[in-house]
Amino acid sequence: MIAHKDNSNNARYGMVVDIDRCTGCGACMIACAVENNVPPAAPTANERTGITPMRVIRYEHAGGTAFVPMMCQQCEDETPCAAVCPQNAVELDPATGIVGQIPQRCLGCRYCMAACPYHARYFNWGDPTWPDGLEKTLNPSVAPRMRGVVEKCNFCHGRWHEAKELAVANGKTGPVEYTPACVEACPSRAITFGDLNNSATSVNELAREKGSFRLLDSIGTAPKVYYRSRRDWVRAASGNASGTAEGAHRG
Amino acid sequence: MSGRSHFNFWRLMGAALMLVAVAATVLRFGGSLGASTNLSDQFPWGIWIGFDVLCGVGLAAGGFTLAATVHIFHLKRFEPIVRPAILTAFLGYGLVCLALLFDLGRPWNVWHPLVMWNPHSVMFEVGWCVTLYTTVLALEFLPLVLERFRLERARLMLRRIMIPIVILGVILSTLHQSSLGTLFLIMPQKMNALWYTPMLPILFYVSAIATGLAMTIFESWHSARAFARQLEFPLVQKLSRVLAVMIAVYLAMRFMDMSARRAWTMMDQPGTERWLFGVEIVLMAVPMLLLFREQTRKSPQAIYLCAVMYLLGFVTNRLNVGITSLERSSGVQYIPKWSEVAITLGLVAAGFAIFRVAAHHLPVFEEEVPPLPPAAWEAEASDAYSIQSGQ
Repeated sequence: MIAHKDNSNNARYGMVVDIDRCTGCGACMIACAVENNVPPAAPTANERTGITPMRVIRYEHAGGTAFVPMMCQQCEDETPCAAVCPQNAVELDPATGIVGQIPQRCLGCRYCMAACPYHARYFNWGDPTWPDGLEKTLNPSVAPRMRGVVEKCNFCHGRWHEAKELAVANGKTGPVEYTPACVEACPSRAITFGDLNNSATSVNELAREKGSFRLLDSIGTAPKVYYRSRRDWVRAASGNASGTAEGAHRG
Repeated sequence: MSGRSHFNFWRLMGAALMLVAVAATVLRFGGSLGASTNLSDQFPWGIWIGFDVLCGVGLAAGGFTLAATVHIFHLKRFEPIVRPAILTAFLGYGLVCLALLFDLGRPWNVWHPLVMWNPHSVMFEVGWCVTLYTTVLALEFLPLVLERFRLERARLMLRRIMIPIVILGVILSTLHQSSLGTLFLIMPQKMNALWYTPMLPILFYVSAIATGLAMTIFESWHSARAFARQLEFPLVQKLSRVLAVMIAVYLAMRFMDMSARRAWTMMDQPGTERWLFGVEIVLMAVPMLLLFREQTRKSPQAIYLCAVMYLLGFVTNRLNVGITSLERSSGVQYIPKWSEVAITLGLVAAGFAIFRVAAHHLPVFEEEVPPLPPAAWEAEASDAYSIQSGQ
């Protein structure tokens, strides 16, 4: 299940998030916004007016508090958003396993948001606005956000491109190694990232370890984002054991 | 209150609603979806989908229901109501398309699904069907315009291809009336079990047929008041009996499905869902029971009120599927912004206004006059010539 079917030239990038390590500091969200040209929120901003491809959700329980970083789960089977998009603006790249969004095609019907079982897609409800001077911090390897389209985490695809270009320039073929912004920023090293097809990676090993699970595993979307926890109640809230859908990502 | 002042009140009301809608339009297209709606990433579909699209398409179902009744099943006695039904359907679909432009993030890309195919997508199917069916409705509506302007040759040509067009319209309606329900099949884990069922497409289709009949009764009543024209009452009575049967079929399917899924336990869950479910069922069951009584079917008012009650039940159902059932799992509360409500009401008012104008200027309530055969044109032309030359 972890490493499967593909020929060796294809990567299947995946993530393991250790919920027990996450302190809920939000550094990953900031790093994500900076990397992906998400402008700082205006003073009047509410939850809807800025997009964050990543959110850390606080989950309260009698057993304690858990922080769950939520981003696109990169569903591999029956990818709901790719299946519902009427104009193929969402595609699962067979070379990387990354679910990619093509904003130029998107017409903003938001069916993919309604269909996403993880609430992991975000709409650009307005134009991004940059305080004077701050637009100089724009990341040149990522397109700026645009109004009226749906977007989501793409495992920092810009970084993958850079790594790939470098590898090709050095005459290398096959999957490349790179690190998404959130993984880099996490001070408690809660997120591990890598190629699930490569049995030598720590992400592959961690995903198979006891205590690792996927959200809503029972619905058959086969996400490539794994979570892990030693706490029973956290695992029970993942939407698998109890059969209830929403526990893990709605606090 | 005299009839005239009553009439003026509704006109004023309609104009006011449309004016507010213009202000909301400025906010929507001058600003953004963020500024003009209370939608959020957790709750991406609001009343523009729940009412304008889901209800709008359903309320326009009279077009295909009656076209099929008269032109395919050859129940010719219903012919006098086909034209108003086609007009309503054409208007309904036009307004649905317009409403969609408000809801889409980038409305100028609305043609994308027609070119960038994803046949896996239900939305792709809905997009194609609505586009094609709106075209079909335009063609079904065209004879009224041609008749008005006496374009006999074009009328005759159109009449020759009308039956395939009507059949195409019925197929397309069957496809997308049901696939509006199919849209929701992808979200079983998000929807309340009172509404989520694999049967949604079939339930949507059956209730759309009932709605088509109820809308025909509704229009007939209002046309009678506004234009002093009325359907023959026996026809309305027949329609109301079929309506009762269709609601019965729908509710029977609904209840059997609920039992099979053991979803009745959802009624023990506290919250507004069970009450809104109750409202929806009562608004459908009561008119059904009433219309099964012969006593009710003797009174035009009673039939009208039953039709209105069912239509309200239908609207409640679509809003429940599109909004209520998804609210709890989203974790946010969605209350539409004034601009969302304004555009919805403005479009409804526009629908009534355009219907009134069309009914005044086009032969909507008149029996169809068969177009003259080509031989008659020549005869007519030579008559005119002889009259002219005679003078």
